[in-house]
Amino acid sequence: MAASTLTALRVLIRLSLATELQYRVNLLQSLIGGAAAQATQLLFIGVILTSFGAIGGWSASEVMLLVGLRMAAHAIYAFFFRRVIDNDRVVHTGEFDRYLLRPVPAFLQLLTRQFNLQQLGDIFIAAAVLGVAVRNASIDWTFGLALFCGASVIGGGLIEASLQTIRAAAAFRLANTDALIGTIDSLVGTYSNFPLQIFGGFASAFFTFAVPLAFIAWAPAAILLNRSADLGFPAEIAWSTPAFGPILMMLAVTVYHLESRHYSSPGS
Amino acid sequence: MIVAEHLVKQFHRRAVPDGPASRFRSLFAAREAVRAVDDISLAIDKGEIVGFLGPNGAGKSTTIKMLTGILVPTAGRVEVAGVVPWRHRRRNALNIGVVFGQRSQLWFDLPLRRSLEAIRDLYSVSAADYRNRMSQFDDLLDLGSFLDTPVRSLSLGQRIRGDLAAATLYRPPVLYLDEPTVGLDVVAKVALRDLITSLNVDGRTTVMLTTHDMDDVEQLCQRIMVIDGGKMLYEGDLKDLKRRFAPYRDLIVTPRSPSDADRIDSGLATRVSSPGAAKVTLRFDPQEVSAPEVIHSVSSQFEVSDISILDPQLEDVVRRLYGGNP
Ligand SMILES: Nc1ncnc2c1ncn2[C@@H]1O[C@H](COP(=O)(O)OP(=O)(O)OP(=O)(O)O)[C@@H](O)[C@H]1O
Ligand SMILES: [Mg+2]
Repeated sequence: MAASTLTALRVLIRLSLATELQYRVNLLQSLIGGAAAQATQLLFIGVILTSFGAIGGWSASEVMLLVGLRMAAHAIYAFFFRRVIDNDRVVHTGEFDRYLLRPVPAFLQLLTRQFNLQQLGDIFIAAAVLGVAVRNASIDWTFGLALFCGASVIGGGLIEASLQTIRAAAAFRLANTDALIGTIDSLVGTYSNFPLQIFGGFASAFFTFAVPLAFIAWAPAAILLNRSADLGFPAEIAWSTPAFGPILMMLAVTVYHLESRHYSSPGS
Repeated sequence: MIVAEHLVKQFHRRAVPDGPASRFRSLFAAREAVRAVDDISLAIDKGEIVGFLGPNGAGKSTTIKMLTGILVPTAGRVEVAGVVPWRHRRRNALNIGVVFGQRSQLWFDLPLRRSLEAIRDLYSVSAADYRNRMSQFDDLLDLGSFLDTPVRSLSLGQRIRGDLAAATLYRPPVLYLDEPTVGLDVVAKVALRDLITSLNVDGRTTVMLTTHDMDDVEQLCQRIMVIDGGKMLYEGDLKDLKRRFAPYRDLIVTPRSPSDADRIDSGLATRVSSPGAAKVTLRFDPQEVSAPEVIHSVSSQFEVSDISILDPQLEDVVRRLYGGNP
C-alpha cells in the first residue's frame, strides 16, 4: 500500500533537511551569498530611484512597494521551488530514474532533493523590504485588500515557479537548458521590478499575455496603490492576480509530467 | 506477471561535430536514430527466475527500463502485474523492486539507515515487518556493519547490498536485477543468491536477472532469454540451450605416466586438448556414444590415474550464441 502524499511529503522533507544539515559550512556560505545577491538588487533599485525620483509616474515609495512585492514573491518561489533548476542535472546524471521508481510524484521528489534552508535569508530580507514599503506607501487598507496582498505574493511566487518549471521540463528533450534558466532569471529579475507601463504598450502587453510577469508584482501593486488605470488592461483582470499563479503552476506541473515521458535515462 | 509485446525503443542521438562552435552547430546536426530494442516480446510467469543475457550494448538495460516504467516504449505493449508501468507509474512502483548495479537508488548523502527508513515509510511497511526483514538482511548481507555510513562512502559491494535491501524491503512481487553482482566478492555473491532464492521460494517473487556472470545464471535461473542487437536470439530452458548449442561432453583424462599424455586417444571421441598438456580432453557426442563406452576404450588402452566428465560450460554456450555460430 502506498503512503499518502502527505506522509510521502513529510518523509521527503525529513530526508532533504538531513541532507542539508550534512553540509553546515555550505549553508552559512550560501546564506551570506543569498543575502548579498538581494542586497545588490536593492542597491540597483536604490540608484535608479535616487537618480530619477519617480518611474513611469510612480513615486519612489510606490516603486518600493512593487519591489517589495516582487521580492516577497521571489522568496516564496525560492524557498519552495528553487530546486526546479536542478532538473538538468537530475536528468543527465540519471537521478531521475529513482524518482520514477518511487511511489511519489516525480515533481515532488525534485523539489525536495535538497532543503532550501539558505533561502530563508531571502524570506527575511523580502519581508523586511515589503514591511517598510507597505508602511511608506499610502494604502487604504481593508481586510479584503490585505488578503489580496498576501494571496498575490503567493500567486506571484507560483508564476515564477511555473515559468521555471516549464523551462525545467525542456531538459527531458534538450541536452542543455542553462541558457534558458539564465533568460528566465534575468527576465523575471529585471522586468518584474518596474512598473511595466514605462516600457510602452507592446512590451507591457507582452509581459501581460505572453510571459505573465505583469502579475508577479505590477498588477497587484497597481491595485493596492489604486493605480489600475496605468495597467492597460481592466482592473478586474488585475484583481484576479492571485488566481493566475495556481492555475499556471498546475499547468506547468502537468507539462512537466507529460514531458518526463521523453526522459531517455543515460545508459547503464 | 510480466508481459511485453513487440517492444521497441528508439533513441535519438545528435552527432556532435568537431571544430569551432560545435555546440552551436550540433543543434542543427541531423539526429540519428538508434534502435536499442527492436521488437522484443516476452512473457514471464509469477514465481519464475529468468536470466536475461546478451553481450554489451544488446539492449538489456533498455528493456528493463521499459519494464520498470523508466522509459516509455517507442512502440509495443508492456504490462507488469496488470499495470502499464509508464502510464500508472506510482501504482507500478509498489509492485516492483529494482537494483541497478551501476547506479544507486539510495539517498547518496545520507546514512544507509535513513534510506531504508524512508522506504519503510513510503511503502507503508509495518514496524514489525521492518524489524524482521532488517534482521534477515543483517544475517544474509551483513548490513549492520555499514548501516550508519553515508551511501557515498560505501564500497561498491556494500552499496549494492544496500540497494538490494532497499529494493526488497517492501517485498515487491516483481524484482528486476540489472547486473547486481558486479563488484561483489565471493561471499557476498552467495549471500545475494541465497536472498533471491529465499524471496523466490517463500514469497513467489518473480525475478528478472541481467548478469554477465554465468554462475549466477546456473545457480538461479530456470529459464533464460538471450538478446543481441535489440532482438531476441534465444528463449527457453537452460538445459535445452546447452543441449542445442553444446551437444557434447568432455572427458578429462590424467594418464599415470606423463609420457602417455600425447598418445592417449580413442576412436570414439575427438581430442581437443593441445599437445603437451598434462591432462587430455576428449570430446564426444552423448547421442552417438555413451560415457562408459569412451571411458572403457581409454582405460583399456592406457593406465590412467584420474578420469572425469565435464558438462558443457554455459560460458562456452553463450559465447557461441553471441558469436552467431551455433
Ligand atoms: N539514453 C540513451 N541514449 C542513446 N542511446 C542509448 C541510451 N541508452 C542506451 N543507448 C544505446 O542503446 C543500446 C543498448 O544499450 P543497453 O544499455 O540497453 O545495453 P545492455 O544490453 O544493457 O549492455 P551492457 O551489458 O553493456 O549493460 C546501446 O547501443 C546504447 O548505446
Ligand atoms: Mg546494461
